[in-house]
Amino acid sequence: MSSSWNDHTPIYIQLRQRVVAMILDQSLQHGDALPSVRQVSAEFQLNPITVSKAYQQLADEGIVEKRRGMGMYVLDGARQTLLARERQRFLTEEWPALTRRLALLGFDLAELIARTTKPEESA
Amino acid sequence: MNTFITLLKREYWENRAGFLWTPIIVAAVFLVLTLGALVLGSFGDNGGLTFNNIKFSAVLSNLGPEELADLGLGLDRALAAGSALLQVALYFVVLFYLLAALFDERRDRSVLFWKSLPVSDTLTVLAKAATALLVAPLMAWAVSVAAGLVFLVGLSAYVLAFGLSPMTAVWGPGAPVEVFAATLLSVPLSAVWALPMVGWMLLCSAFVANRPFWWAIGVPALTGLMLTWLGVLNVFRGAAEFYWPQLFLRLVAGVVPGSWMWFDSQASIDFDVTKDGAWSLLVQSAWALMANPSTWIGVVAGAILIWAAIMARRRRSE
Amino acid sequence: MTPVISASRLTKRYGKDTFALREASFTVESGRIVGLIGPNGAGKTTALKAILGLLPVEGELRVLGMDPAAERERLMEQVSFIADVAVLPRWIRVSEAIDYVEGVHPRFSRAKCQAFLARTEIKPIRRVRELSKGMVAQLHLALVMAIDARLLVLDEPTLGLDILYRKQFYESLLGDYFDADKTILVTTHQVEEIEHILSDVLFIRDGRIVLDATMDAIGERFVEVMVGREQREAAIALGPVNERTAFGKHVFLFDAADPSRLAGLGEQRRPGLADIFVATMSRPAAPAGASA
Repeated sequence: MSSSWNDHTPIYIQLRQRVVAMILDQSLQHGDALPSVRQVSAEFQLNPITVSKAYQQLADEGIVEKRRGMGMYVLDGARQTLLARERQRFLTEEWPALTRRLALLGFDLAELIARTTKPEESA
Repeated sequence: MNTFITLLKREYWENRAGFLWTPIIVAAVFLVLTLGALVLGSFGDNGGLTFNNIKFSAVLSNLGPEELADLGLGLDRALAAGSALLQVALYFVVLFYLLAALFDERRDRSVLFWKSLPVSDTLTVLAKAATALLVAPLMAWAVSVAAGLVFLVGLSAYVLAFGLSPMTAVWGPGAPVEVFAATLLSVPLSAVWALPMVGWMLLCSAFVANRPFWWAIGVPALTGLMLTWLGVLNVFRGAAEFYWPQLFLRLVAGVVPGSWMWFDSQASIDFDVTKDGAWSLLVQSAWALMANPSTWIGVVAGAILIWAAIMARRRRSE
Repeated sequence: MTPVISASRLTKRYGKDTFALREASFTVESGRIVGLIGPNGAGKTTALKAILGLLPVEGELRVLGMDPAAERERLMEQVSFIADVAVLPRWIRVSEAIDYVEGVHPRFSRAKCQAFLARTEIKPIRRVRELSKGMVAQLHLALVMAIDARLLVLDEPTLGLDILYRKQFYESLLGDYFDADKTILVTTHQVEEIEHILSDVLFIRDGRIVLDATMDAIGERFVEVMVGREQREAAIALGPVNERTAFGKHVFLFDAADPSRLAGLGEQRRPGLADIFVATMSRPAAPAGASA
């Protein structure tokens, strides 16, 4: 498991990303409990402080809330908040980078869309 | 207290082979040989068991009261002899136990496990000393009693087979209870006398880097040889004569019960071979032992050696 | 909160010129998992032995408020340790080992120990010498985790174990044992294996502490930059800790460098603890230990 962490961002950020991904693809829904710090720490072989940091970050962003004596729970509307944020990020960062790459490779956007609707013809 | 008992149990668990099985096997061999001889001897005129010059099979024909008394003494001697056999085995068991007690744990590094638990070095060393002085001898004693009883029961069966009452032929004449009591009393007496040996062996075990056996025997032996040599050169005359029986033997074999009687020339015991039983012999020697100053000097020396062993164990973790 | 371990200028010398520890100073706070990392002969084992009261050293050392050399028995009620895998006595049966620890340790829970063992293939009647190395490690860990100790010291706990047992070891430790009241001090050569488990790290070399930092601080301080040939001079001018080559590029490790001056030199990455370790160890020795 340790080899699946990249070497660009702190681990706790990457852990946060994983939880975000789970909320976005709805494997975690609102009202669901996040696995306990202890469980995540054991399964991924991470220091509990790192896991707590990731969870705290999510709590600060209003994605999850801490219920006393019970753990972290996904808040109502978390998915919408995240979706909105991720869409914004896509539009400001990933989309411009993607269009630059398309230009670099000489692709025409309309042509690409046509390809994807006919998968048996892709190269 | 619970800790100390757990420590004693641990010594037992580690040394079951020596403390339990060895006496049982030695006793079993003794029983097989003696009772076997009895059975085989009853098929002819030669052979069979003889106690104190009286053939046991003669019991079947009526024996007079004096001969019965002699037979009884002989039976007691037989029990004591069986017990003595066990003591010889026990000596070697205890000797090697002591030498390994604080050495093996360093050699296989298990000392790092023992020391990871809240048990003081003092208690550890005392538990090993107590095992050598009391636990092992008591176990051997229990085995000797059991073997003695089996022996007498065997004789009784033989006698019953011929229609005689075991009470008159076996249990009456001798005084097995006295023998058992005497061998039991010898345990604490032996413990007092053996303290220097136990201390010395534990110290060698705890301190030396290699081959504790050679240090434990070698250092006293070399000292003795040196004294003997000096005695020959007329320096320190008499030292060797004092050293070998008093110091060397006590240091190396003090654990053998009764050794205080044989090697201490100061012990004056009135012992009538034809009359006195085991119990009275032991009681007399007990007084002599307690009255003898060298006994107590040895106890102090033994305590100092044990203290040194504790210090050594404290310092060394490999 | 008083530190669990406070060590000040620990020194252990053998003879006139050989030092196992040379004025080593460090602190271990409660609730942390601290890695003590160094090459062979650096003084790791000496430091651990001093902490456990097995070896007297000069300097000041207090563990849980006690002087280890003077109060070892009392200290061992609160401190557990596993001094590498091979130290359980080979003659002892599993059931006897449990009975023994229960009989001498006031904070041992038989129920917990048996719950841990129930997850393994270990039978109570077996002797330690009949168990595989991995099972011996499981047994030792089960015994240790059933003790409610405040400090756990591990000296190369997974040495020689295959990967399955190594993973299980830390999984159990983190999942079943560690909590906010406990502190773990671990030495190991397998730096990659535990780097994400550590909260703090101590690098030791030639008896001295050459790095003493939290993992967070290390994440912020150290940066590796992959620089093309043209930028090499510029990179060297910024005072890197170390240089190595990989994939035709020059890889520089920087410690607490100004990020604005690093920008544009090349692709940056967060170095693994092993990389930082190798780089720090090959540096010429500094007289005083660097601290965060």
